[in-house]
Formats: sequence, C-alpha cells, structure tokens
Amino acid sequence: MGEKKETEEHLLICLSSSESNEKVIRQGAKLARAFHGKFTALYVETQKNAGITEENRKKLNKNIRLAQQLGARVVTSYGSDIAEEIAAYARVSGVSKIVLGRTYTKRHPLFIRDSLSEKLSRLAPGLEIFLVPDAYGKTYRYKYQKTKAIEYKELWKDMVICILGLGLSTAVASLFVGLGLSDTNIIMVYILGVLLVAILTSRQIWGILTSILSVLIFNFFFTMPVYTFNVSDPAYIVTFFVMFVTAFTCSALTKKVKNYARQSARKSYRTELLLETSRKLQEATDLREIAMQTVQQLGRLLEKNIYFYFGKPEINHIPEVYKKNDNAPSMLEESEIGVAQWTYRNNRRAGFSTETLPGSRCMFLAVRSAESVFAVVGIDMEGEEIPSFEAGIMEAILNECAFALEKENLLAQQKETDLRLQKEQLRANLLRSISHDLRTPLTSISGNAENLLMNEETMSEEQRKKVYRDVYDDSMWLINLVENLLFVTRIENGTMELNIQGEIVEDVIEEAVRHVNRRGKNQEICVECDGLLMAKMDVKLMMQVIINLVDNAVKYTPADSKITVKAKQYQNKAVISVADNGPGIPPDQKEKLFQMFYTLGNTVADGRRGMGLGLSLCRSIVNAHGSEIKIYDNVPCGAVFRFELEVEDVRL
Amino acid sequence: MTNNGKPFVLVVEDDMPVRNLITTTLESQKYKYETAVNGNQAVMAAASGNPDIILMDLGLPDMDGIDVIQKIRTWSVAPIIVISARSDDQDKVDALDAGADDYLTKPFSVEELLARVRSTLRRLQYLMKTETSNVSVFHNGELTIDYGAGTVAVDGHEIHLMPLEYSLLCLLAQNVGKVLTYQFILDKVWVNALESDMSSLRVYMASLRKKIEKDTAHPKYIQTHIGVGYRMIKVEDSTPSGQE
Repeated sequence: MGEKKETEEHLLICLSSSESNEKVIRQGAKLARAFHGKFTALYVETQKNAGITEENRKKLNKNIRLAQQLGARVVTSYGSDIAEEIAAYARVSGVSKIVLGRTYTKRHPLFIRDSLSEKLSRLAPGLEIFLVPDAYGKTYRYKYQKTKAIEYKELWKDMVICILGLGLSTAVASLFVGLGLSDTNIIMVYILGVLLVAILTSRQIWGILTSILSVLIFNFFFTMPVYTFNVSDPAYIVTFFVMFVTAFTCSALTKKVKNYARQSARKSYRTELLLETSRKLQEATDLREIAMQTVQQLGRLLEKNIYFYFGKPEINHIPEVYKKNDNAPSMLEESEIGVAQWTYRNNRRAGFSTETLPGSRCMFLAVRSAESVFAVVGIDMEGEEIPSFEAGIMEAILNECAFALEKENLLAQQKETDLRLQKEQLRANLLRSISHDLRTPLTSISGNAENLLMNEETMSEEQRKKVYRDVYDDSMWLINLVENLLFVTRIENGTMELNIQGEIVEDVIEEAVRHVNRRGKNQEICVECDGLLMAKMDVKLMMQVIINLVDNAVKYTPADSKITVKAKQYQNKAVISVADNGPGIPPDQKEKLFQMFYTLGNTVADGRRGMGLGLSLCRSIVNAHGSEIKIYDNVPCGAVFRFELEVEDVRL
Repeated sequence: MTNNGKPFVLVVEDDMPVRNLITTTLESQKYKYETAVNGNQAVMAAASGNPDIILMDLGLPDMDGIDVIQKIRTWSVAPIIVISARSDDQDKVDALDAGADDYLTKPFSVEELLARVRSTLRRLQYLMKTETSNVSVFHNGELTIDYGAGTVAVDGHEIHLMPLEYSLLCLLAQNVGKVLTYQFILDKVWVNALESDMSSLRVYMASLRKKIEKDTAHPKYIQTHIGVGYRMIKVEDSTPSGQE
C-alpha cells in the first residue's frame, strides 16, 4: 500500500447479512479499541445481494446497527466483486487492518476459487488480515443466497423473448439458406440472437438456455442431414462446441456489462442527487429553507411523507413537511412525537424498522453534528422498509443537512460577535468623546473659580457677574450631559427597558420645559397642547426627548426667537412637535444631525459646544417607542422636529 | 416654632460641599440649623433637637434613608424633605410612602431648595392653625372646599366635580403641602385599584385641574410631580411657588 497516509491505525470490517457477521463486528470493534484506531464497517452491495430477502435484509440492518453502536462508521459501496471493492476502499481510505470471518474462507467444493482472504491478499498486499473463527465451529456450507421470489410476470416475459429470439434467428437463418449463404453466417445469426436474448432478459439462465437451444436448432435444421440431430460431418461437433462457447461467453459478458451499466447508473444517480442536495443546501439562506430543501430531497428520494423538526420535537410544533400527496397530515400524533423525542434525547434512530419503538408509523432520524442533535427527521414509512441503496443516500443527505445547519449556526454566532464588537466600539468612542468634551467646560469652571480666588477684589461687579454666569452655564451644560449619558448607558447595555404608561402629554411637556436651561437668552417658549391628550410613553425618557429638542432649539436660535412645543391628536396618534423660527437646518445636514457626535457646523474646534449626543438619544428613544423623528422646514424660516406617540384612550 | 418664627432645620447630608451649600443657603434666609452626617446622628439629633423641618439625603453611609424616616416617624410628624441623587424615581416614591413629605433631586438649585422649605413652612403654619379649629371648611387661596356641604368653589364660583374628582381634591387638601404618590392616592381613593386605574388617575387629575386652575400651564394649587405623584400646595396670597 505504499507509505501510510496517516500514522493511526484504521480497521475495516465487512458487513453482511450472515449469522457470523456479528462476531466479526464485535471482534473488529475490540481490535479497533485495542489499537486506538479508526473503525469502519463496509458493506458492499453487489447485484446479487441487492435483491436479498426481507429476512436477510433485517439481519443486515441489525448488523449495521450493531456496528454503529460499537463505534464504526458505516460505509456503503457498490460493485460486483466484494474483494475488489474492499481492496479499492482500503487503498483510498488508508485502511491498515481488516477483520474477516473465517467462514468466508471456506472453499466451495466444486469450484476452484480463491477464498475472499486470498483474493484480498493478492489485491491489497499491504493489508493486514485478521481472521475471526466461526463461533459454532460448524462446517459452513455455502448457502446459495436465495434471490427474490420469482415473479411470474417476468418469467413469462423472458420465456416469450427467448422463444421469439430463437424463432427470429431461425427465420433469418432460413432466409440465408435460401440466399445460398454459408454456415458461418447462420452461426453468426444465432450468436446475435443469443446476444439479444441475453440483453433483453433479466436472468442469466435465459442466455445460457438460448445458447444451448441455438446449437440444437442449428443442428436440427441447418446441418446435414437436416431435421435430425445427427451430423454427417464430424467437424460439425467442433463447430457446435465453438458456437456454444461463443454464445455462452456472449451471454455471460452481456450480463456483466448490463450489471456494470446498472451499477454505474445507480452510482451516478446517487452522486447527482447528493450534488444537487449539497448545492441546494448551500444556497439556502436561513434555517427554514435548509429544512425545506432537506425534506424535498428526501421526499423525492424515498417517495414518502417527510417531517422535519427543529430542536426537540413538541406536540404543538409545526414541522417542515414534504407531502407525497395532498391528503397527507401536516402534523404527527402525540405517540409519534414521543418517539421523535426519544431520538432527540438519545441521538439515535428510532421507530419503524429500527430496534427502538418499532411499532410506530414513522422512522425518526437525528440530524447531528459532533455531539449535538440539531433536528429530528420523521419518515412516514407506510409499512415498507427503506432499501439499503436509498438508505445510504438518505444518510448522506442528512449529513449534508447537518453541515448546513451547523454553518448557519456559526454564521449567526458570528453576527452576534460582530454586533457585540460594534457595541464595544461605540462604547469606546463614547468614552473618548466624553472625556474630550468634558475638558472644555471643566477648564472654564476651574479657570473661572481660580480667577475669582485670586483676583476677586480687582474685578468689577460686571466682570464678576459674567464669571458667575459662565460658571453657572457650564455647570448646567454638564448636568444636561450627565442626564443624557445616563440614558445612553441604559440603551448601550443592550436593552432599553421601557416603562410604558399612559401619561397626560401636557404635564410631561410642561415639566420638561421647566428643566430647559435658557442660557441667558430669552427666547419665548410657548406650549400648545390638546387638553386631555394622553399618550403611551416612558415618561422619564420622553421628558428627556423634549428637553433635548427644546434645548437644541434654544442653543441654535438667536435671542429673539420663538420656540413652540405642540401636542395635537390626529386620528389615534399624538403628534408632538418642537418648532422654532431661527435660521433652520440646511437640507444636507438634516440626516447627519442625528449621528452621535455630530454638531451643526462640525469643525474640529471645540468652541461650538455640543456633543450631538442629545439628538441621537432622542432618535433612539423615539424609535424605541415605535416612531421616528422627522425634521421639516418651518415657514417662513426655522426647523420643526416632529414625532408621534400612540394615544391612550381617555376613559372618564 | 421657636426662634422668633424662624424655623429650625435639621440637615442630614454626608457630603461636605453639599452640606455647606445647604447650610449657607439656610443661613442666607436666617434659618437656624443643625447638621448630621449619618443616619444614627440624624435620629439622635431629631430626638433631642426637635426640628421643625428635616432635610435628609437618601444616600447615607450607615443606614438606609427609608429606615431613618420610619424611625423618626414613630414619634414625630415633622415634615421630612428627602434629597435624592438618583434619576429614577423609585427611591423617592419609597421615601414618600415611608412618611416623607417632599423631595429634591440632585443637582438642585438653591432657589428650588428655598422654595421647598418655604412651601413646607406654609404647610406647618396651616396645620398649626387648623389643629385648633374644627375643620369643616378648607381654604387655600381662592379655593374653598366645604366638607359638610360637599361643595367646592374657586373665587366664589361653585365648581361641579364628579365624585372621584371630589375625593381626589379632598385627599390632596387634607395632605396639603405633602407629595402624595400615585399608589397612595390609588389606595386611598380607589381602594381596590387595578393596574389600569393608573391611567384613570392621570385622566381624573387632569380634568380636575382643568376645572379648578385658571391657567393650567402654571398651576396654582395642584402640582404634578412626573413619575412620583401629585401635591396640593398651600398658596401665599401672592405668587405660586411652582418651581420643580
């Protein structure tokens, strides 16, 4: 096998439906554990055992499950020769040891045939083979694996084809005789006939039968003397012999080719289906779509109703469903859900055709990745077991599904991490900006205080008043900033918990306006409210919104401006607006105003005070109330900030 | 009241600059005062000094402000004004429910502080006056409530009130000068209050004010304390002291 790709041991066993396979599996498991290596169980499906009886299939499934329980990874492969398939798989997967049951090595009494182990040693010389003795020590008789019950319809069809073939060949041969063509051509015709029969019939026996009959017919009809089984020329015996051998070989070869073609077709169907599944699952954009694609693919593959449950299946969960026909139920009964829950908890399949709770209607499989179960898929078995070819594809599809689900999970986690990172960044920015913005007013306050301490006597009344005024204004500004910051921290911590109650809007606005610092300017602030207007709001937050909006208007309008706060009811909304008749806001700045650290005339110089925090906070609060702050131009000049709140009905 | 009509104020505040601010302010109005820096001192000072008004910070180092209030309330009905640094209202509501009469939120302005003290003093005077007489009629500025007849008049004109509004008004009047929390009012007037009655309370209060206030933008009698409750203030015959 050349150099080993992996340094760890990889043990392989072969699965079959025979009685002794169980011992092989157990021994294999033990050895794998002893060697601390990988453990794989290979089942080779040949054409012969694709058509095994129910009873044998049950045994096979039992063995497969046992292997899985003991920690094997079960792989299915398709081929015509078990030894070849094993050797091929061993090469590709870096298998180092293989465990076989000794019963495989019994020679068939009639045929000189290599035992499986001898064949394997030849095909894969680097493979270590362990032979496990038969538990009972009985002489093993090679049991001819009974194939499916003979279907009578098929039998008739094949017989007709055979007879027709022979008939046709004979007819053509007669024609040739009439045309005066030689024996060789007639022989060719019969061989062709045999070939056709071999292609068109389903069992090898017909090809062989046709070969024999062709020789006989050829003898009877076309050799001298005609219409007898005697031959005049002894050379004909050789001819018969050669003809028979040729015909036989053709039929055998045809059979083989047919098999290969069929296997090929199956393999390519499987590959195509899996590729398509893979593609579809990758393209799926969310969990629901993944589930939908999975049930579709499974439904198309198995032609049964499929039910997909995310997480632990509960009675009132609505699964993603593939319906074979329209009258299939959309949900499963309580008893079925119970089985599904078992699968979820134990991460193993359960239900019909399994060892656990086989009395249920459906079979449930876990969609898993590593150790956790993502979902449970239920298949409405309708009393039929799933053939192993389809079962293999089904498992592959479920694997794909698990990958896709895991990917979605990871993406979601990633998004969350990104969001958290963003929040951290914002918080860092906030802190930086706060520290920066705090310096200016603090410089002013401390400087003024120092000035007073040192020079109070030499300052005029006028100067002193100005200093006091400045200190007061700066402190007020700081107070407002702190209020806003406290609210901001409530949001930045993820949730803004709103305490929504009905409040009289007029009261809230009045109180808010009282808190606004006029900064020595004496703008006129007037309030116009519908009397008994009550709206749903978190009163502390909403007060801050109005304080900020009015404060903003006070800041950016000259001393003789008029600021109006209105609250009116329109239909079932309370519309609140803060309008001024100052210079207004240029259109390109309207959106930017709400950015957290933006101020009008945003220059680096920190003379234009204002962190711009106030408006950004307003927007967050109003958004949390389910509304939006919009800015309009006031006529003839100025700006209007407007938002809506839900009205609470006033019951007297 | 002792000291020639000037009240004696107990100031309980652990932070020195703030304490100085308060005492300086009180001094400027010639009020007498005593200071305490923690809960235990406060209780002792209240017991021995018998202050007229107690100004108490809620964030004391040794005891919960609520406990101090409850202790003092076991023997004294002296008005307590609590000072709170927190921006959410729960601690104020708790203090009021425990027996406090009014509150201030830091940072407060000196004006506010004085206004509160003045308003409390007016209440004290009113209470002293009405202690002796049989109160069947309530007078507050131009507002008159005749308990016996069950009528209310403002500036001589009788006002028609709904039963609930009348009950509200009476409750406020009986506790004039004191901030009543929403819950307190609900318990007293509605008795078996439901969650939804909170908004009803707001509505009734708003309609009541509409009826008795001349200018609802600058209420004279009933103050709204957003997030906490309501209060009826004892008016001087001149300007209302409606600053928050």
